Parts: sequence; structure tokens; C-alpha cells
Amino acid sequence: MDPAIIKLFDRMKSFLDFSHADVERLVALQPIIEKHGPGITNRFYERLSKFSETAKFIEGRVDELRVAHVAWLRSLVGGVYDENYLASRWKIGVTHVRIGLDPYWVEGVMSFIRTAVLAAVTAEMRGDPTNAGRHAASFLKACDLDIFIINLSYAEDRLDRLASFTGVKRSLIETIIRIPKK
Amino acid sequence: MSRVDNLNRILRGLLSGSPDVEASALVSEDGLMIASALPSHVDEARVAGMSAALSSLGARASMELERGDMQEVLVRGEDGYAVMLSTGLGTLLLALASRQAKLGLLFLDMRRAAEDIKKVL
Repeated sequence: MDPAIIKLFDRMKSFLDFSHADVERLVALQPIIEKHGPGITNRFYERLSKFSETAKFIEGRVDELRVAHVAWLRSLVGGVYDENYLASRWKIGVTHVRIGLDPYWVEGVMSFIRTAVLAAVTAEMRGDPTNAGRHAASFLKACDLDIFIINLSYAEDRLDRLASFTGVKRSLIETIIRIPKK
Repeated sequence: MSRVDNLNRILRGLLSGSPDVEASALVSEDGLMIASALPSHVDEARVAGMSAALSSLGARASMELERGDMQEVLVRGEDGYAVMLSTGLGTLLLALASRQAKLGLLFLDMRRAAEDIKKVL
């Protein structure tokens, strides 16, 4: 991974105040993910199949994608958020560029996951709403970190492709972006 | 005399030596202006960005289309020409010329100016 990206990831964790307590709470969510994860994944692919913009990307591959999705959900609460974790999320963003899925659909996908997992957390921890809120907040931070990395990798990969095709250096693209519009 | 003064002198010399050359500039490959002899109403940042982008595209197109190393990029509009020529060392020379300009002479003058610029840089 580019050291600048690793530094940015660390800065974002600091900004979100992603603490050791968050990591502990995420790990504590593992049994809930084990119990509800496969069901959430099934509902997720049902939802994707209902929209033409997303259905075309999963057609004929749902079983294989379900396995990857459950693994992704598990790693969200895996308790390790290091460079390898960053690299795995980066790859997800790049893959989305490669298949041609527009970035706002990734936001929609993450919204589905947030909603579904929070409902599961609320249901499983209904006897302790304060603690449920804390665990939910930690889960939201993990989702936000993921979407940050995925969106960043998506944007970087698009710019790299443009730079590579046109021969225009990244530094020139950045210069052009800073020129005020007429 | 500073390097910038020397570069400005070369650019002004290109204008005074070729009556059809109306403006000139030296731009980095990153799209930043290094020196210029441009009319005051011109936005230097836009000229630098545009020139560097066109030059990069020209170089890539020349390679992709198997035309060898790019010599220059020429844009012909109704009112004249914009010519971009790589000077090496990560810079490019831009000249804006009237439509009456003799291109052969313009290229020759620009190459001479590019050689002088290389010595200064």
C-alpha cells in the first residue's frame, strides 16, 4: 500500500476516534454477525437482484458472492484494522471500478448493511439499550472506515486510469482540478 | 541576471524575432507557469494547465499511434495557431501565433528558443 494512503487511513481512524474500546465492542458483535450475517447476506442479494443497476453485476454469481459477502461481514467485526485490512478494502473499491458499478451504489449497499446489522444488534441487545447503542456506534465507525477506503480507492483508481490512458501526470490533474471554473 | 529574467528574455526574444508570434510561455509538465510573455488579460493558470494537458495527450497519442516521439503539438483555430513543444527537463514551450504565421519558421524559432531555455535551466 502507498504509505500516504496508510497515513490517511490512520488519520481517519483518529478523526473517527476509532479506539481500542471500539475494537473490543466490534469483536463482541461477532456472535450476532455469526447468527444474523447469512440472513442479512441473503436479503442483501435479494435486494441487489431487484434493481437493474445492480442485478447485472451479480447474475449467475450469487452463490460465490454470498460467500465473499459473509466473509466481509465477519472481517468487519474481526478486531484487526491494520494495513492488510486497508488493502482488502482497497481491493473492493478497485473491483467496483473494474466491473463498472457507480460509487453511489456502493453507498447504497453500505446503507443496507448498516440498517440490517443495527436492527440485529438492537434486537439481540434489547435488554441493554445503552450498551446496544455503544456497540452500534462502533459498528457504524467500522462501516464508515470501510466506505471511506472503498470510495478513496475508487476515486484513485479512476484517476490512475485516466492518467495512464492520456499520459497526463497525476500532479497535472491535481493542478487542473485546483484551477477555478470560469 | 536571474534564471527567471533569462527565461523571460528568451520568451520576449521569440516574440520580437517572429512578428507572427503573439505570445509565449514556459510551462512545467505539472501545469505550472515558469515564465511567460502573455497578454495581461490571459489567465496564466488556465494557459499553463491547458498547455501541459495538451502536450501530455499529444505525447501519449503519438506513442499509442506509433508516430514516434512527439515533436510538437499544433492546434489551428480560425484566428491562428497554438504550438507546444517539449524543451526536455520537464518543461514545454508554448507559442501563440497569428494565422499568417509560417509554421516552418515558427518551429525553427521555437526549437532555437528551446535550446536556449535548456541552457538556462
